[in-house]
Amino acid sequence: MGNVEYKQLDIKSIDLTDTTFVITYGFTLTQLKKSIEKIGILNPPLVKKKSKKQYSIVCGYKRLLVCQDMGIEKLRCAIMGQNIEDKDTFLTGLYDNLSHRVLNPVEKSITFSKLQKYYSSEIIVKNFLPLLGLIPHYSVLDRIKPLSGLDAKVKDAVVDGRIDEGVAAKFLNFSEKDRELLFQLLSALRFSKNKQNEVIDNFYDITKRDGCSISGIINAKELKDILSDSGLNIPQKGSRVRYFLRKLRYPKIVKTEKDFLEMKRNLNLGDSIKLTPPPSFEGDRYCIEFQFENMDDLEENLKKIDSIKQNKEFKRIIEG
Amino acid sequence: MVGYIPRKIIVDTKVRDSLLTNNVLNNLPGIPVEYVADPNTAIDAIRGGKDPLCVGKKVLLLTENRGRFLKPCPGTKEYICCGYRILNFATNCNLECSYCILQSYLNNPAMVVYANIEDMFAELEDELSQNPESIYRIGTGEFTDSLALDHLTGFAKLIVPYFAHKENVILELKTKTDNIGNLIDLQHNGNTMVSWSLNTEEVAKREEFFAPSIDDRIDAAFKCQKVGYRLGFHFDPLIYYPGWEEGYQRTLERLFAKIDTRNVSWISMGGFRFLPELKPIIQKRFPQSKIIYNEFVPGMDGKMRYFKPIRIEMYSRMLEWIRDYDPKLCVYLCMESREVWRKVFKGDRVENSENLAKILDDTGDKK
Repeated sequence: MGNVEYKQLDIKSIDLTDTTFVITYGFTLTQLKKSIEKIGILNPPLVKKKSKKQYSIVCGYKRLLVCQDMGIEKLRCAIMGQNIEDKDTFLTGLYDNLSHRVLNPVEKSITFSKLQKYYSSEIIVKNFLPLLGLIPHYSVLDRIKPLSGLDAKVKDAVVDGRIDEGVAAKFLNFSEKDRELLFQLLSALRFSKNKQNEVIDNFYDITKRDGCSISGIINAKELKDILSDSGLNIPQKGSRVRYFLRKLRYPKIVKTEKDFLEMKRNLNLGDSIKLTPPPSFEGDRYCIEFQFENMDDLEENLKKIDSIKQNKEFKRIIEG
Repeated sequence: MVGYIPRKIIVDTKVRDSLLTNNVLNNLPGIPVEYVADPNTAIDAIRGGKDPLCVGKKVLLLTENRGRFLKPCPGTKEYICCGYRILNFATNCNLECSYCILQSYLNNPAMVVYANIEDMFAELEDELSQNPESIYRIGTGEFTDSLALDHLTGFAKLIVPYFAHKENVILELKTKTDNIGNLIDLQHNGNTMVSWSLNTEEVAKREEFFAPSIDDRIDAAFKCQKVGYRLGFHFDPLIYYPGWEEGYQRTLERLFAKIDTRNVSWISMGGFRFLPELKPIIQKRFPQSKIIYNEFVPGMDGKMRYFKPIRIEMYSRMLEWIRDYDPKLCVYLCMESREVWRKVFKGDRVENSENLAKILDDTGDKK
């Protein structure tokens, strides 16, 4: 870092819009403000001169924002030598952050984007991914790097855990308008990480297969009816939306499942006998299972099972 | 078709004097050559680098196969397998088919030729002489295209005459190329069959980027027919898309306009199937491809497969169209369940892997 000089600076001389060396994203200042109000600033922010009268922030972005908010006009700062290269200045800020906290996924993405000004992808993968606790592989860089390019709403949702980072990266496969619609839907239905992935994958697959847009799917009457149905709670809406999408994505599979259920209902097996098809109808083993209390019960169940052999629909499903 | 030319050749010093190494180096003057004692360092560099699948295909690695050359086909017990054996003389392929399973299957992204063929022939001698009663159906096109590198390696000129003198072997050279120049004058004695992977012209154009057109493949088969090779055709992967019926019918029409069914040993069919890891690879490498957006379910072997009724529909229609040309043609399914076999062939023709192997052994043996 070289020698630093400590000086009382006019806060207006620090360009808070210049984030060349800043990686901080997704924060609240409430606690920090309380702390500064109580005990002041113990560690002066680190800045670097960018012109005769102006400084860039290197470390202490949040502290400076709080001071600005509190109307503090002058502040003691550490000033880096102007001869230090931008690359080393950026690394100073990065190592300072890493010394006391774990970066969130968006901050990691910002870090990689900024590192690319100074380093090849190979060096970033080899040296900086492990530094940030990631596996040194290009696929990891490819997954994380785009996050900083997402809309602020999505980035915020990633930071506070409402949207999974893997799901967020998939947002970039869609147009801005479609991203907005998707975000509204996922936010409204509060899916778990796995369900978010399932929903976004189904949307993506359908749009790729049919060459349509998300808005075309979201504006379908059936989906709109589900979302506006005041008789349904959020999990019920979520479940119906997922079924609607699955039906669009896998029409033949869903129809087969529906036909099977219908046939099963018509067999009148009652609650005690379970008839289960092979997973995804791929294997050729069906399963019949029942429980009984006494010999009469057993006899009755066996009679019911025997009767299904005569059912034409059952025979068609089993034998093709 | 323009033959494969690598940007760089890496020679493992252990095979620097091998015949295949010499063939490759003589056929590629001017291509940079690096000699290495340990090819793993070079492989790791490609694997850990940017876009390893694309970069790897530009590097031709000549090395030794330290394991066995002859292995059983990696079929799974859940589906009926034909009992094929693979002669592993090379891995990877330059044809850039979007659906290629090798993209998610191979650990080494380079184009690899195992140049220690002296070891390969010794192993073959040993294996074939130990079991003279068994019929060996051996293929070289499982982890590579059998002929894609033949203009560089001259491998066919070695292997075809070798098997010409073996009584109990059917060698199948499986390809999508028209790289048959080396085959034409060889003495094969009916022990080598050449087979082509075929598809619809639409699929060939959209999904098989550097492979010759369907017509060029059929023309190549026609030339091999003329010099007496037995032929095989593999409709694998069958791709389900709007218009597939017309597409496959057109391919069959073109095929049988030039190929006499009496020269065809077998035709196989297999629906598109893939390891789940392949989907993101296709999405990234071939963003225009739509083949992964159909209705797939997890198969009993862990691969994604078309939903069973789709497969049965495709196989049944294909079988019907093929039978229209010749009802006696040997048609089989690659890695399908007993249930699918029954529903497609409407009978109990094949109940297990042993049945299928026997049928193909007998068919291949009819010279």
